[in-house]
Amino acid sequence: MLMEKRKLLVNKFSSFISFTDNRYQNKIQFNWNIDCELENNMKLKIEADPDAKESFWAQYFLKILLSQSKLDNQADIIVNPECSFPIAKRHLSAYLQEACFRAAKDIYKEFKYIRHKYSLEEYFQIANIAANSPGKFFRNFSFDWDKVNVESYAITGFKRFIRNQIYQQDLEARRTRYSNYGLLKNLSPGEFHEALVARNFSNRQITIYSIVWRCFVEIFHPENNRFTKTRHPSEDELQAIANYYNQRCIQYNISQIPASKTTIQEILSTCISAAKNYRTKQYFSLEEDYYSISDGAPSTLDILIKEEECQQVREIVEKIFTDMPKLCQIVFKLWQGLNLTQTEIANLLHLKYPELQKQYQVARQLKKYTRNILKSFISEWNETSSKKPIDSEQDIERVKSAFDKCIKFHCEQIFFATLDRIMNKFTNEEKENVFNNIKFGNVLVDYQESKNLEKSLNDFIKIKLKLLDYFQQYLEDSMDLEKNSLSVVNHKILEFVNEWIKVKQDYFI
Amino acid sequence: MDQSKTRLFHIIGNNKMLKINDWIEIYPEHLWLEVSASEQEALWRKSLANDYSNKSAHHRSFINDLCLNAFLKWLEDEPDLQKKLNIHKPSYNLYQRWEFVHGIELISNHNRLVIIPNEQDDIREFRIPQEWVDIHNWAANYYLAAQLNLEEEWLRIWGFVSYEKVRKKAQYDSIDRTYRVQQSDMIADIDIMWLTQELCATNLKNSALATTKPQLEPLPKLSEIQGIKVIEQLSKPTLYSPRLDIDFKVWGTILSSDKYQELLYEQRIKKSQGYVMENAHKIVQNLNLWYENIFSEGWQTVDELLNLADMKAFQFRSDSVLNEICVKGAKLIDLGLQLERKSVVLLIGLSPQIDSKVGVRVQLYPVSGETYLPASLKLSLLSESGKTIQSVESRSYDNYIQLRRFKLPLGKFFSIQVILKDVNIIENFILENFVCS
Repeated sequence: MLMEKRKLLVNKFSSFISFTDNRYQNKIQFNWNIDCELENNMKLKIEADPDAKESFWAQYFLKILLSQSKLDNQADIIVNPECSFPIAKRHLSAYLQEACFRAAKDIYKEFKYIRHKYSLEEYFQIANIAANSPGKFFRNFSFDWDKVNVESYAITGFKRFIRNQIYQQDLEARRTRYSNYGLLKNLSPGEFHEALVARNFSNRQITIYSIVWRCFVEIFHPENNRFTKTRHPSEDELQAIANYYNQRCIQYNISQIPASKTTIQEILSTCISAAKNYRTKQYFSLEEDYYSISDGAPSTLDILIKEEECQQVREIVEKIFTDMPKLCQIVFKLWQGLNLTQTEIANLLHLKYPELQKQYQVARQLKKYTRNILKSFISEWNETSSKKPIDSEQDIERVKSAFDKCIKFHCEQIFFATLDRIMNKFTNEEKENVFNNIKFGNVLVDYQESKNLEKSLNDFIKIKLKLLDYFQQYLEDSMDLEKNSLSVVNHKILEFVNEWIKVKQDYFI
Repeated sequence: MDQSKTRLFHIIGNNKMLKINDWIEIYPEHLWLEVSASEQEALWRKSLANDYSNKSAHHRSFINDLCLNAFLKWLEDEPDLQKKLNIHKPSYNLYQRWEFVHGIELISNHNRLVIIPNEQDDIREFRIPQEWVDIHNWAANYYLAAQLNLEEEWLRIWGFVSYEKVRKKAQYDSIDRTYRVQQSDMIADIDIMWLTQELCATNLKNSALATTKPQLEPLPKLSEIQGIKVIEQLSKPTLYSPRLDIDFKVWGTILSSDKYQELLYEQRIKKSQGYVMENAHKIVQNLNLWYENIFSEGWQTVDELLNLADMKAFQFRSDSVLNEICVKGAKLIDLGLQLERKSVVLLIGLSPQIDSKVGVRVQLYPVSGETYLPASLKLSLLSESGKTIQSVESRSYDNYIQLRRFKLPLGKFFSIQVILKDVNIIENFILENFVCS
């Protein structure tokens, strides 16, 4: 899972991530594969312009791409003498590989509750689809923005793309739950249009079918408050749809033989089959209109928050967080620190806090707290930082994603510090054992070594259990939880401790 | 590139449908609200009891009312927010608007919000009916997108978009007269909207919209005769909303006037009742809903109406005359919409009888500071077949009139008729069962 970043400038624009199944370790490995054509081309370019930096090349390829996209619209193709459009596109795709990986990793971390359904490599592949059509993806990108970084723009966009794709994919999985007419009612006008386009309908046909479909949507309703599987339009309803449709055709000056209810029935059946196909399409697509970020580009503010002012942000977050009500702190620590789901939090807290019985309530409470913390944060920011006040909904939206990360980071840090303190109670030998052993899993060893290893592994497990035990006790005490109440989520605690060991291990070496 | 597609093909082969609790976790920035089956049931019955001219409008009112209800309930849980925003109780003509178009208008201290509910799964686009954007007294500062899933019993507000952004980014769809906003042009977390209002005062002041109404192309003026003619044309019974039947500008003019809108609504209801009756259906007030405090369109508890009407005059009478009665409902009845406005209050009280029949008391009062009823106002009880059973007529100085108290077995239809000159209003009722605490 660990992946090295590319260091050479040539590689950054000429290599792609590929994965292989490592059967021995039963996991998937990421590798960099170099595309020779791109490599040669890139070498020549760097020779010609040795001072140009990474960001220059990223913008250079993007410019070729965007100008070409504009030309496409005018159906006027000019070959760029320096670099052809397909080559530029591939260079940029190569460059965006790390952004894909980063986005996938972020999402994997954020969507901890569906890890059993989606793996890191799946997220990566989804992001890669967007990276493979950079022209569409960067459609709204503007070079006028201050300090804009192609990579961070891409990461934000890829993350949104991945999440939306999972949602879309879920719709496809849900398709079977609808009856034919139920499905037809459930389509959005956008989906309906795409479904017909996918069937290669002419524009005129699409217009006619759209009118029929909308007349159907307006007139056809469930008998009671919900649809039953068997509900389908009656003769009377079909006639009413036909009448409405005919009237609308006159309104739009569409010369068409007036439709009978049989015609309407036929058109609806065609729509149903198009709809079914549409919601079963077995691949992802980057629709022209969707998913590109419009003006959610990183602003000066983002960069301030992400880099230069990071320390200041952290200080503000820390201060605000300690001022929050105790319940708020507990819920956030469980949610963002220990990665508990909202349901797990409800199960843990509902006896003591009757307002947190259900996931819905926890979700709403979290939202309310987030709002309050964010509000304090913005006020504090505007008071202390004269550089750039937060002054519009766009500002707040941008700040919020950076801020969410800070809160998570803060909650994790609290527990990291706790683990540090607990570890201090252990002997040096014990410490060394914990931090070294984690690595053995990855290394093949000979027989003698493995004998030694066995003993040290045994010790390791004992020490780790002790550590876990102390940690759980501390968590329960500090958050006023019942004794042993955290045992049901000990897999989450274990995950957290492993994460901490990983961080420490790097440090220890 | 094609390689990645083939691989994905395999991945999607596994069935990985996510559950609602997964989605709540994945989209923490959306506002998730529960809409229980029993709530759905109650509001569905309420929408049936309300007056709408067709099934489409009934369904629309059901969906919008559910959404409104859930939203207001959430607001009750957020007293701090409500204190700052001061979202007013929705206006009466909200319910009338659902005869024509989706959308819930809420007015807060400085802003007008419109929630547009939808039952579709796809949230890549948000569609706002043109009425909410291009009619100057309908246009809102913010539009909120609500997605409703009846089967899984939830609702979420998944984003909002400001008026300016709609103007700048939305695409107009002439087939259904909607503005289409892409998800990427919206902000997912409505808290950002509240926070902007609270914290970015300077910015808002600069924006013309916060203080003044959006600048819109003026809608044409209609003369009274033209107006009545258009309304006549649009009030013919249809199974769908008449919103697309005429040029938008004329349509917008009708809706922009409360008077015209109400007239069109009333006309459509009146004509459709005739229309519906031909189809052997009948829109009736189900009186046992009153017992559950569910009042249909136009009906209120007597207490609610007391606040509206002249307190002193009312209290005395309701106390002395209706105190044996355990459920009461009242409705303001408009007599004559086009000329001088005259309203009366129709009061109905129910009391259970030992022989499992129900005693019904019907009274008519003047309203809002008036002491006397208009003269020659006729109040009648009609049987299911429309035959007059008893009636009473007001004289020159009557404070109120009432029918003799009558008893009815459960499940029996009856109608109350109010006539003044050429205005003839009929209210239909049925009482299915009755329990009195």
